Amino acid sequence: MLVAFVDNVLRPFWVLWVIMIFIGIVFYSYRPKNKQRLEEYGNIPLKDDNEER
Amino acid sequence: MSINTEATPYCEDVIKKFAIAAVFWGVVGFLAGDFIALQLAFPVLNLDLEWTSFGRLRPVHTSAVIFAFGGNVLFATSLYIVQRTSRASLFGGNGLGGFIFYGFQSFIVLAALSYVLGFSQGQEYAEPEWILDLYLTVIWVAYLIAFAGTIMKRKEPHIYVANWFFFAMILTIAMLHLGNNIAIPVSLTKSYNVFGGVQNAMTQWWYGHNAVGFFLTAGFLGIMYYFVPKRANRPVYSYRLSIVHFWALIFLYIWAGPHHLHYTALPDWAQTLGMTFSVMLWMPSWGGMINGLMTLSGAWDKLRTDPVMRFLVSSVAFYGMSTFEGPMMSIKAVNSLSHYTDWGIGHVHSGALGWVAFVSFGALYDLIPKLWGRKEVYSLKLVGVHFWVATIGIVLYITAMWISGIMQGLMWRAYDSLGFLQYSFIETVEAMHPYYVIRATGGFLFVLGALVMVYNVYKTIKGDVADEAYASAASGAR
Repeated sequence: MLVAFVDNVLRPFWVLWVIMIFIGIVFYSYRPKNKQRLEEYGNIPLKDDNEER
Repeated sequence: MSINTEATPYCEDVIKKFAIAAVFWGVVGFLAGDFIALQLAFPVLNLDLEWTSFGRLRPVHTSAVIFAFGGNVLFATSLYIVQRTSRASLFGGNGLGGFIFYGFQSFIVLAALSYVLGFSQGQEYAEPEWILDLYLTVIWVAYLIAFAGTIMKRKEPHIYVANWFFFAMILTIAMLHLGNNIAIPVSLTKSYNVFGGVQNAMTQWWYGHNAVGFFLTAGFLGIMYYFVPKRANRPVYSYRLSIVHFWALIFLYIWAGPHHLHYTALPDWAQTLGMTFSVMLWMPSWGGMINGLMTLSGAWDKLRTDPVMRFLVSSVAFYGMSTFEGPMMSIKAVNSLSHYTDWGIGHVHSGALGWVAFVSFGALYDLIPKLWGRKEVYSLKLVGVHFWVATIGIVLYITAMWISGIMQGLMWRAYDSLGFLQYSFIETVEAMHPYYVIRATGGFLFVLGALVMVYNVYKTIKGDVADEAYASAASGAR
């Protein structure tokens, strides 16, 4: 059952699934709601806790 | 200088070792490259000895620059960055770090010796025989444990994007290494790959192209995503773009290998698949370039005042240029002209010298003073000298190879009025001689630049300060 599903449905359309995941990632990244939270992560390298210089 | 008592005790002894090893192997690898470039121009330099023939020294050069120089740069920077951005000390500490360090250096020496003595399993960029492959696997797993362990004990809730790139590099290289090196040993020093014919070729280029894609691109993008923002002292232009950049690269790169096998026995559908995915790679190419360059928007003056920044920014420009050229060359019509010619060599080196080496130099010039507690490198002026000497070297190299490669491709396909090939092979070789001399000259300048770096690094570690503007600032800080 599972094997047949994988062989007949999942495998032939692998490009489609991968593209859908990718579009999902783009949607998630550029969703206005996530903007502030995601851009805040850009500061991680700058807030080193023992930068002595 | 205030010491924060809350500070994480970062494990930096091993990073220092990797950084010095990177500088050392860089010089060795560049020298080997320039020597074999001279061999191509002047065959007498093969010295009539089997150990110094081009066929044996070429893998010494490629392995030395990719794995010994590039590898040590990646170890140094990734283990540094993962600690800093996780705010956690290295998992396994200096013990595990030391194991990785000495294991990897001994692997390099053993691999190089094996090539010179004539042992090779014949897989390009994966020449070491099975016993050394197993040895490297142990070291790589130790690296995976140290890296993943540090991420797991992080105090920073989010895993910074640079670590995503490093982690993808570590996992993919492990997979490629194991897949490409499946071989049946017949003795301690000889094995046969289980794949034959076109399957072997496809496995080889699945490995070979992704060594470029994940080792030399993903790994070094990790360096870019930390050191460019750090040096510019401003966050990356768009963190959201970096997420899309990462996943575009991950989804696409692994399928691009077949473009190395256009017009071969590889089935046409596989060739077209490889070409299509290669062209789509323009997406992450532009993503990375925009993100790297635009981080500097509003701080462009740093390009003029800070030669370290100049290295980093130029590397991103070279990244953009060579990853534009690559997909273009993967288009079958273009490939029919460019394949097997020097154009390919020129393309690889605009990526390897311009992108990989320049981002590494930029990172090392930023990293080494920090590791040894110096305010800045011994002399920023000398960094500038290194930059210009190396840049002129690269320009000589890639322009010579463009001209020589296109000429070579055109000569190979030229027919006379009766339908015979117009040129014999040796005529094409003769025509390339001047360009080989120019290429070797460019390579010499690149080595020269690296030697300036060695001096600068030595003086920095010693604690000397040359630039007057920085001398006063440094004495004030201490």
